[in-house]
Amino acid sequence: MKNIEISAAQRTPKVSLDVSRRIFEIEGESYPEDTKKFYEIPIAQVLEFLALKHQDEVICKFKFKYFNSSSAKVLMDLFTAIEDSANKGNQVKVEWYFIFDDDNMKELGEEFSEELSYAKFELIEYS
Amino acid sequence: MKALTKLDGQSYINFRKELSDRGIVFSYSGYLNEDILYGIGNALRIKMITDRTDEKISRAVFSSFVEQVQNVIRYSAETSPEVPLHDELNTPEAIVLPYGLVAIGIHPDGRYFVNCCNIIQSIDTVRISEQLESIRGLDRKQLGVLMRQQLRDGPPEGSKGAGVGFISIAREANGNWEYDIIKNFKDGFDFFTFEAHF
Repeated sequence: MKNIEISAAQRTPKVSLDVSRRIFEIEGESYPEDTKKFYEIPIAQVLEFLALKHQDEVICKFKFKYFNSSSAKVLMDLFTAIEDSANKGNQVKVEWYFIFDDDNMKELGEEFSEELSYAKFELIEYS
Repeated sequence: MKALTKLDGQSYINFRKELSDRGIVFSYSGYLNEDILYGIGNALRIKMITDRTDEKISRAVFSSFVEQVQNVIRYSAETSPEVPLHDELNTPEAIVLPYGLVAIGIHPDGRYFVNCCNIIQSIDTVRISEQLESIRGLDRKQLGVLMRQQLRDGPPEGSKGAGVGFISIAREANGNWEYDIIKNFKDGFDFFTFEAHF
């Protein structure tokens, strides 16, 4: 499986998957003109990656400044796949980053974490 | 060549005053696309930084602006005519530009508002008002739960996005939103306006 390395643009986040280190990362702003077009290929690959059997921990980092509601749908699909992966025996950890005063982003993380029971979840504040 | 009518500067002063009397800081009326959303959104963010607007408010205003304008772009029933210009515009699909109004401003009490208006087909009015009435009175927490439920279940029929735009706006506005529909704006079409307060 290949790594993913998509750089951040004005309205789209950085998306990366480091297959050998088992780190998936998404960072920046997400309100694409066409959400499906932007996410379809990388997310399909991440879902495939999560469905594999992993010996060591898989880490999924979410570091959003802003995401719109159609991107929230992509997040829900990812969280569902993360939970499935953990439920099938993988160790999966979600790291949800938020800027220190962004209560809304913190709350969104807490809310999305309710989708998880087998996967670990950590809220991480940064400035 | 002699102009047929004389440009009336005073009428534009009146127009500007009407906007400023309503507290409107940014306004756009016309055909919209995603570039306009990005451009106004950027200027709005910069304006709120220079105004030293509380960052929590700025984020919510920006977020609501994006959702509302995307709603207009996706659902306005009034569009420029579909002309097959694929080659000239270098696009695989025919481009139609939706028409709508966007206004962002500040109420006399200091709260921000984000307003959008567009035309909807009268046959959609019941569905849209039922959808909005179903979330009226819900608080932030309830709206968050509903949003996730809807994201899990998938978009409702007729939705071009995740189908959670209004829920997301209502959540960020802590339930401080309202809408109005004026029937028969044109034959078969109603006038829809939505406003969120921050």
